[in-house]
Amino acid sequence: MAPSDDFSRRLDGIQRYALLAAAGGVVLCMAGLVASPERFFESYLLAFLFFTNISLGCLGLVMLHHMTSGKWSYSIQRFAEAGMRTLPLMALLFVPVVIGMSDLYPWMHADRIGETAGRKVLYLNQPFFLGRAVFYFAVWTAMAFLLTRWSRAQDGDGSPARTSALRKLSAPGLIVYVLTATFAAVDWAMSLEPGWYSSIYGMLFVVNQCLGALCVLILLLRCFASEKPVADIISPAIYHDLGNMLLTFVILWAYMSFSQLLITWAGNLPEEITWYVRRLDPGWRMVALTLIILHFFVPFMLLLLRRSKRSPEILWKIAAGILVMRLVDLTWNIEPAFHAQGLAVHWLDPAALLAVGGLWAAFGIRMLKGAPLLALRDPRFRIVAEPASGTPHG
Amino acid sequence: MSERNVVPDVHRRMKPGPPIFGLMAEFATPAELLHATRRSVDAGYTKVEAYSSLPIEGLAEALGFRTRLPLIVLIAGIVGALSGFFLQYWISVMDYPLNIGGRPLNSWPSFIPVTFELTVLFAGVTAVVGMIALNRLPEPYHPVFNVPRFELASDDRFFLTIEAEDPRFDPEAVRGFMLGLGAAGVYEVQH
Amino acid sequence: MHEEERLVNVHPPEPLIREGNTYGSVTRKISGAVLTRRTPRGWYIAIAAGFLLVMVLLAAVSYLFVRGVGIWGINIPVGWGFAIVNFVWWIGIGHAGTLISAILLLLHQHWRNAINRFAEAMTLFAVSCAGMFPILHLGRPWLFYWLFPFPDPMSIWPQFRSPLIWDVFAVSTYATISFLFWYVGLVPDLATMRDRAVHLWVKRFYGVIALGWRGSARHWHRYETAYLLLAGLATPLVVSVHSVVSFDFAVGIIPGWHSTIFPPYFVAGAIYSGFAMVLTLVIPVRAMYGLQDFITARHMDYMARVMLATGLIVAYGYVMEAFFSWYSGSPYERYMMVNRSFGPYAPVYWMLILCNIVLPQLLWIRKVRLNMPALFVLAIIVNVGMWLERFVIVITSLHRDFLPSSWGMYYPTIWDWATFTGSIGLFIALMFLFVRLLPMISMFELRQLLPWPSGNGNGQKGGGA
Repeated sequence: MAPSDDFSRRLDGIQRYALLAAAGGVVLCMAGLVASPERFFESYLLAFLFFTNISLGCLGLVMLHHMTSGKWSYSIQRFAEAGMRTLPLMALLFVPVVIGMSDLYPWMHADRIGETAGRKVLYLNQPFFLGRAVFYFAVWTAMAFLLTRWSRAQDGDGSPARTSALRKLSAPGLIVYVLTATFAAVDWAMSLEPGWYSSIYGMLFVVNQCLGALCVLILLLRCFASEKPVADIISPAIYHDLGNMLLTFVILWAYMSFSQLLITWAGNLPEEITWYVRRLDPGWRMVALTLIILHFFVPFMLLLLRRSKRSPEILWKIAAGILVMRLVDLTWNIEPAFHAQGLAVHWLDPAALLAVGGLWAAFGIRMLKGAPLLALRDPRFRIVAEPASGTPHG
Repeated sequence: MSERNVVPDVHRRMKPGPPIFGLMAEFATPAELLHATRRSVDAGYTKVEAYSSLPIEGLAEALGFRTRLPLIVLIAGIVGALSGFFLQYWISVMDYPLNIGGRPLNSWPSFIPVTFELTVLFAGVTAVVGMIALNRLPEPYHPVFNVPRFELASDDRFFLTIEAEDPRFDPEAVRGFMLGLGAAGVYEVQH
Repeated sequence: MHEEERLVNVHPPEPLIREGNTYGSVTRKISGAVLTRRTPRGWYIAIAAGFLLVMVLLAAVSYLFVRGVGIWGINIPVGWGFAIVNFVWWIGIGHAGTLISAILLLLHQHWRNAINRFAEAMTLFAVSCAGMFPILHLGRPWLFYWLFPFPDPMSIWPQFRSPLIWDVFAVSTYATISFLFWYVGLVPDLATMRDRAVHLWVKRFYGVIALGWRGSARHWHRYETAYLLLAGLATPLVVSVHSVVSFDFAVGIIPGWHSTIFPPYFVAGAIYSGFAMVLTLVIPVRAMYGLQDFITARHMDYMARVMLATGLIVAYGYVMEAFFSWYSGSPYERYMMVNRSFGPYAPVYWMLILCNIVLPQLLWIRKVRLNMPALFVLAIIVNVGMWLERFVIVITSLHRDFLPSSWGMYYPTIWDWATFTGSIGLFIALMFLFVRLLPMISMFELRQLLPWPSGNGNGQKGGGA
């Protein structure tokens, strides 16, 4: 089943808008870079991390799909593959972060950091930091490349051996992904405050990545639900499963965030609690409260209702809401490192998001082309023309 | 098979009301039971009940039955959460305020775990007690147990009763109707 | 739910129930194991061993009541010894039961139906063993009710900022909900037992605890609703319980305890050890009672895979502990890790790494997963490994903390060992009593796995599972 011309035109249209947005964003960023370089790098890091997280979440979900063979993940597999194929682009977009390193990371200046952070120079130093980044991107790109290549090859030959190869890659792949994502989180986000540490941070990042990716994938599925062959399989049951996964990740986010808070708060050690003192002080307190309510309570309550999981119209709105909250959460997570006094939105924040996001979307949409929207010849799944009826347990 | 189980109606009670509890049909498969239930409801019978040794999807829907249990459990959970938090708040802030390790009196992060546990405890106990109570269990005696074949209802046979209190209940018509549904046997259910 | 399913998951070839079984054969084989079948010799051996160890437990506890906790190896600086190690170990074991019965139910993993009853019983007994230890450790165990908030004459309340009080609530809630889940799951099967029992008193026994269940469609509907709600509640509960257990440690500031990864890492470890214990018990019982029809090779394979996966999460936890103890930059945190790997308890640490991380990697091989003796041995190794893990966390963190002048060593006494092995005996005895008295596999849930039989009547044909 080759993608129809209509579909290609639709993708081209989206891609054009994305590129347009990116062009606008890049121009604004250039202006910002001249006007206030320090502020530009801060905004840029936020945008870079936000979209890299989504790409990495896609990588994780694709491998999870190959391990669990779920129907819900089958429906979003191709979108997730496109998402993870943006990782080489993100490697390229990492360059501005490298350029702005000395503005962003205090440990670049030995005189500026305290005694505790000074003991970490073996890990926090520029060459090692760059080497690790190169390593992460190389590993991620290689895995994304192989996973897509084998899955697309299966579209041609339908060989079960491909599935087995995909699974053989995904099992260790998940381990590698979780470990590299953990260390990337330490490098790129945690070390913004080099004195602070929290051992759940990496796992929390992995959960955040999957949550963000799942939101984007639900939006994409909703967007392309009418296209063949997705239209052949889509059913309330699939949305229901996706809604349940969304609920699971929302709960995991709340669980891990709260665990980190409780342990840090109860321990009350100076090198740990300062991180929260900043983030719960008046300037950032409203953001924290917003997160508790809109990142947890509201989506949690909504996703408990069967109706909102089975209706794509309601589900995509919840997903979009959570995606926005992901951005707020990331902002709350990294920005207080630069602006302890409180939330300070700058015009460069949307500009950087537009630039990185536009490029990310254009590249991702490009990756959607050239293969059907489902892995049609995956032997683990069969699409039935007539709905199966009378199964005693579905 | 059916004749053996038709007990002569000698123990007719003096109380007013139908002389028997109803009629019971036996089926061999869940599909037959589901089909028979749907047909009975379609035929206008209202006092219909189906019995099986496993939950059968669609059976409750066929009987037009829904339960309020989730709502009750939700309310219990909310009550549990509120009472859990305010128990701790009242003890730590109002009744016996005590400075412990310089922590604020209202140490809300520390109060979350117990609040959560009590939410689950209230909701979980309510789910079970509510289910049992709404089902009116424990109920050691029930007329259906008077049918000897009914002990297979917890094994591999499937039963359908139409009760005598049904306004449309007419023993002969119901018997004919049940046999028409393909029942392997039709039995009278004594009180 | 009857709805359009346009995407079909092509099932793996091995079935969940061996061919040729029917509703009737499920009833006969499972209720027969309790009601009619001759008790296998292995059962007598197991119950005798369990009973002997229960006597050991009673002796150890009696002596403890007479003399106090001084008979144990605990002292300053190691005030938490075997009692807490055993508590965490047992409660962790319990968690697989809830995972199997609740989480896998929510995930539509139908293979759980053959092992959930067994695993839930295991949860219940493991929690009983676990709950015993903190109470024994209290010093004056008979005053344990002081842990609950009640208006006592001295108007003293529990201290809700302490995780030890959270533990009281978490463990008692967990015990209650596990019992309810297990009992509710049993009710329809107890009705089957009542109807199949021959002896009058046996019939009455099952009749009373079956509550008069008659399998009416309306009852089933409420029942399934309640069961699903319980599963939905038990899932976060099980995570919270072991998280609260991890808070017992993590909320303190002792190096080796104060680590934010603890909650998820403890939960994964709990499930890991729990699956190991399920396998340890299921493999012999399955052979003893010939239950290969219902607990198939596929079940074993799945359980082994879950064990491997959770083991890897635990391994991630170890990596994070090691990395962040260094990355913290704190000399105390760094020394904790050095002490763990090269200090006086280093052999225990490396044994733990061997048992929990190195050897279980054999489970990547399918042949090992399907080889029952090998799987049994690996499951026992993981059980040992998880016990060692708790030993390392509790003892090595306490025995050398901040001030070298207050360092010390901990050596368990014979009474520590007696209480520990005694609790294993209690667990074995309860487990085998359960196997003898109650249906150890859920009959009504197994029936749901069978395809609808096609009738000769005019009913519709049902599709296969």
